[in-house]
Amino acid sequence: MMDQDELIVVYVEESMQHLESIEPDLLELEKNIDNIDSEIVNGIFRAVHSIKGAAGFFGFQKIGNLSHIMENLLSQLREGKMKASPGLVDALFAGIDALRAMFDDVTTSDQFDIQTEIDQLSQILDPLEQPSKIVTVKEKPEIGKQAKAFDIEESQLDRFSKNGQFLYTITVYLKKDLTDKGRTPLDLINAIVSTGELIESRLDIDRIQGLANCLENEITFVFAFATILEEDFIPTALDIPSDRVSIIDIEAHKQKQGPVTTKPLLSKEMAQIEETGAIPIEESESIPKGIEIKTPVIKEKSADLDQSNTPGAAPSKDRQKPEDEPDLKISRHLQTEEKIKVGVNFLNDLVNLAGEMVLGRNQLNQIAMPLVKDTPRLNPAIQHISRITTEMQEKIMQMRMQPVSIIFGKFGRIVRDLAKKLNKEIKLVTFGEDVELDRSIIEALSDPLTHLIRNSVDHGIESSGDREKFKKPKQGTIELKAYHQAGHVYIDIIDDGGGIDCPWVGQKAVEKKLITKEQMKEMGEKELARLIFKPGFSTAKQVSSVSGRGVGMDVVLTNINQLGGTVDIDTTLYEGTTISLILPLTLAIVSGLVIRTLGQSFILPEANIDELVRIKPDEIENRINFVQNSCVLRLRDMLLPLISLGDVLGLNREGQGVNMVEDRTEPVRVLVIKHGTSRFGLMVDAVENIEEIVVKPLPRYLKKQKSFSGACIMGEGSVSLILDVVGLFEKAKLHHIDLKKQKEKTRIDIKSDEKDLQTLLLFNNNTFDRFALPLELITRIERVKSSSIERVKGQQYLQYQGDKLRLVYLEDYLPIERPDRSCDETTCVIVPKQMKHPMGIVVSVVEGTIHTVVDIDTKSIMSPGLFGSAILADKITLFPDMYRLFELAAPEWYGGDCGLRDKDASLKRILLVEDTPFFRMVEKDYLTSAGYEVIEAENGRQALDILAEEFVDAVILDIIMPEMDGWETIRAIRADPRLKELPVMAVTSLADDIGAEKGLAEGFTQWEAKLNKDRLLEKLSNMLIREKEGV
Amino acid sequence: MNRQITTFILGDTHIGIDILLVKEVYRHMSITPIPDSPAQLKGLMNLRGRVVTVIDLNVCLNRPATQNIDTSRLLVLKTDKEIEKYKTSGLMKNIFLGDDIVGLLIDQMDDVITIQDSKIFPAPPNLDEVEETLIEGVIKQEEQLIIILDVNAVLEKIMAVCASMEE
Repeated sequence: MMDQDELIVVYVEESMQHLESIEPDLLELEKNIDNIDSEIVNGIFRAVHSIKGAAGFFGFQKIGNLSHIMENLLSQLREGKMKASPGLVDALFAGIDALRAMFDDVTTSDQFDIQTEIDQLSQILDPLEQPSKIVTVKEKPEIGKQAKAFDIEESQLDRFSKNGQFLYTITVYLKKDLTDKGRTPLDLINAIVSTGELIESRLDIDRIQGLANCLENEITFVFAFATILEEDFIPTALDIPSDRVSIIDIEAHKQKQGPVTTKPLLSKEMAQIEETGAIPIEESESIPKGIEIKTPVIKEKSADLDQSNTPGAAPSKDRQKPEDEPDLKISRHLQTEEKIKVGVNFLNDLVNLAGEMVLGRNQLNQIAMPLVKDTPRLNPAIQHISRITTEMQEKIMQMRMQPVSIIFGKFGRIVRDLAKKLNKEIKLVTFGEDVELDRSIIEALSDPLTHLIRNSVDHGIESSGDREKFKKPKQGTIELKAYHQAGHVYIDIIDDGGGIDCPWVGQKAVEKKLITKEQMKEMGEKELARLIFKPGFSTAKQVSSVSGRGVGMDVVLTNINQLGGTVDIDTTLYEGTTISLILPLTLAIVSGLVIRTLGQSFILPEANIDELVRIKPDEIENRINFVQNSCVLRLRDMLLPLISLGDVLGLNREGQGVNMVEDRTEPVRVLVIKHGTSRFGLMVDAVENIEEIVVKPLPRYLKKQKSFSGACIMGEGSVSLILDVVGLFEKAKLHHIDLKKQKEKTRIDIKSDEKDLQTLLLFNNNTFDRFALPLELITRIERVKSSSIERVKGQQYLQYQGDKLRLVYLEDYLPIERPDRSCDETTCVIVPKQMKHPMGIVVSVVEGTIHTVVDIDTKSIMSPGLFGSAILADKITLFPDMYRLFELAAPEWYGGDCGLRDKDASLKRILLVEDTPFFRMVEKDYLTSAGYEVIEAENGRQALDILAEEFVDAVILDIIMPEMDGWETIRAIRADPRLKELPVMAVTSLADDIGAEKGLAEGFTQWEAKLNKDRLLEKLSNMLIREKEGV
Repeated sequence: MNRQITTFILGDTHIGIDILLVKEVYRHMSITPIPDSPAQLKGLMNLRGRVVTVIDLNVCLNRPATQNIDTSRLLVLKTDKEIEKYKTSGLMKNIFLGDDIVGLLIDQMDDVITIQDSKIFPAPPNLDEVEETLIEGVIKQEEQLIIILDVNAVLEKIMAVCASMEE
């Protein structure tokens, strides 16, 4: 049997529901206060009556008293004895609030102080009304039974007899009549209340002998109530044996009263009742208007998911449905469909099971797919199960859906009270109350929505005076809208108030040190408006008790984010503000995209993804840029901030992630993620398929991890983490700030490193050796047919641009493996720049280019014809010395005089001025290996700076340089009296004789072509000797 | 009072946990690491459709992290719901395992022993590399020293480390 505590819980729930239904009714009443709808009054009366009825049963005195007074007031109202006034409405509201407070902690409700409310209500009650005399009425005497007695107010008794109502006592046994039949006392009370008016109820414990026998002995409940029904019909109406009913004798009182002006119902009508179970209404003049004679109906909320702990409780069907008489208005709260109450825990279990089923189905699909071809009838069976699983899961999820009207309902009252308090005129309009959301989302929405609405009332809508000034209607409007769009539910709070002054908000935020002035300047209107969601922000001049404590808005944002939703704000000064809450439809099963980064799989909910972009390696330079230290992607006409998933999750090692994007030889895959109205790009390694995944909550240890919103089990059994886009973005922003700091620190280092980055061309001969040459030395790479190579006098030539190109084979001059060229149909020829005599190097395969720092080793692998070697991309690479090769191949063109070598090379300082890192490195190496001290300069300007400070013995000067080229430099040097005699040698790729002439004329001591080690050193030493000798 | 302790081997130590807290011992493992999380959390695992948080006990006890998990076993603990009945009957007090399923990485299972509370000694001071707050005490069983782990403290510590991860 249901014990007392459980019973109380049900009573409290039902009473709360009653109270909730009263509020909108009262608001309606207030709107048409001069012309009140009797239906509404009746509705309110019935609700209060129900509360009062059972209160006595449970012994809740104060609840009983308060509801009793409210009932009196309402009864006066519905009898037309009183007019509705704002004071009356206020008093009733006050009463409701007090009742609610008492129900919140029902066991201590008797200690509640309700005097204020009672006074308020009493004041409204007809002050002339005499305090009613209490009379005692008794049951009609029966043999063998003790007549039970009840006390009743005389005025009430008068009313009942005037209306032709009968008074009865109902005596029921708790076990026999109720529990054994699956009914609760509350069910009976509800039935009584719906057939008439409950006067009193009490527990009759006379028959219980001692606590020990309590459970076995029958506890009896006794009710006194008044109804229009005749005695014979009560048992049917209340579904109890007829001997439980006794009529109360009020004859004596009736006679005192005088002739009765009402007609009892005719037996014909009674017969009708028997047949249809409904009571037809007769509008006879003897029955005063406004009296409720239709049987009232229990009010039920349209969503019947109850918090009761009795899964599968007996269906609660209403007992009497009134007939649809044309002159009767149907109560708005009619029950329309049979419903069952189901416990929430039970539902949750169902949802979990649905989830498991989806998981199992996914697994099955994965395993079965390869077998489908060979197994007949397997595919249809799998498809069938798959379809059913999806449908079942959807339906089960729907069970958890409830209409938002559940929470929208209370806002009417909130707006009214608040507006009154602040002396503003505001009306609340709601749309889309039927829109459904998952139950847990609805629960979680209640507080944030309340805060937003209060905010609108408090800060949004202006005072009537101000509104008039701005030529706005005196009454402000707040619209509360719910609607579906694009897989989400939107809840908009739209007010036509003053809007948000964004610059002012920005100022305030700066003052409160939430942002810096610079940051504020960079923010657009929307971003400034969003500042109100920052913790610690409150623009209220006085922190009002209503809102403005600065803790509200940021909590709203957090709460909504936690639900997987976002908040958007749109405001126009003087016109109003719209705050949109964008919420996901369901929680538990989500369509997700599987992505992979650095070997790990993650899931990204499909709803967050806008599009997938693939950028080919050659487009990278164009489309991905670094703007103020942040990486951005150009997508059509937008600039998207680009973050790398690996970076944000801390998975990347040095040299990976967004900063190394330029190096990539593979396409870059970017997911465009939507986050409210803003977007950003997420760089990942690979994108796989879309899967329906069952979201499992993150263990509590990971709740703080903003990057993840849950976990799921993949079809093949492993766990994957579900990414939270909001969290990722926030983390990335922070990350960016850190990166920024890092970059500042190492800026100087990077600058120097950049100097050494070179682009090299890699090639090979289909042998183990690999070669490289600086790309800037190469003018063309030709692919030629082996057949077009001509042999003349033991040398190979190629017809090239109207000229004969002398071909050089590396294997002829270098100690490398000889490739087998006999089968080659085509081969490659590398043509260097600015050669005096056209020559080309023949290679088998050109691999590609590489952009990297080169650390050339001129010692380990050395031979004439090689600059040196280096390890590039993990492979030993040889650098052929083109110029030497050509000299070796065609000595007749590249003859040279061998001068004396200065043995005294040590301690001579040479200033090497060369912008190309490769040459600078090589030349420096030549010089240092010959024993010179080398100072480096990148261009003429640097050179002059150095010359101003330092002493050098000679200068090796390039011609083509940025900032200040060789010509300017030499002129500057010669212009300087100090440096007039300084030996300066030009080493340049300009290898024509005209250059040499001009050079010498301009002041160069020597002129040399790149890049001949011996000749360079030779000429240098010649220069220095001559200098020494003072020539 | 007598208690049944299930013991296991971690590195060179024998550790024991109240058997009432243990749900099962699991063998096959495929752990998904959690990026950017404290070292105590080895990762997440799928156990018959439920997500299990795998704890690296070695890290909790201030030892080097477990490297090779191929031969490890997973000691799966019960949840609060499952030990509710022990609490109401008084067998256990003040132990909170949380609602999430947690598994401890161990090297090898050992025997189940019955001990008396009175025979549990406080941790000797020279027990290095073990966080003293995480153990209830030690007990000697036939020349073998067994450390009784305070599961509550372990989980609380992990919770604290995770909570302080926020930037």
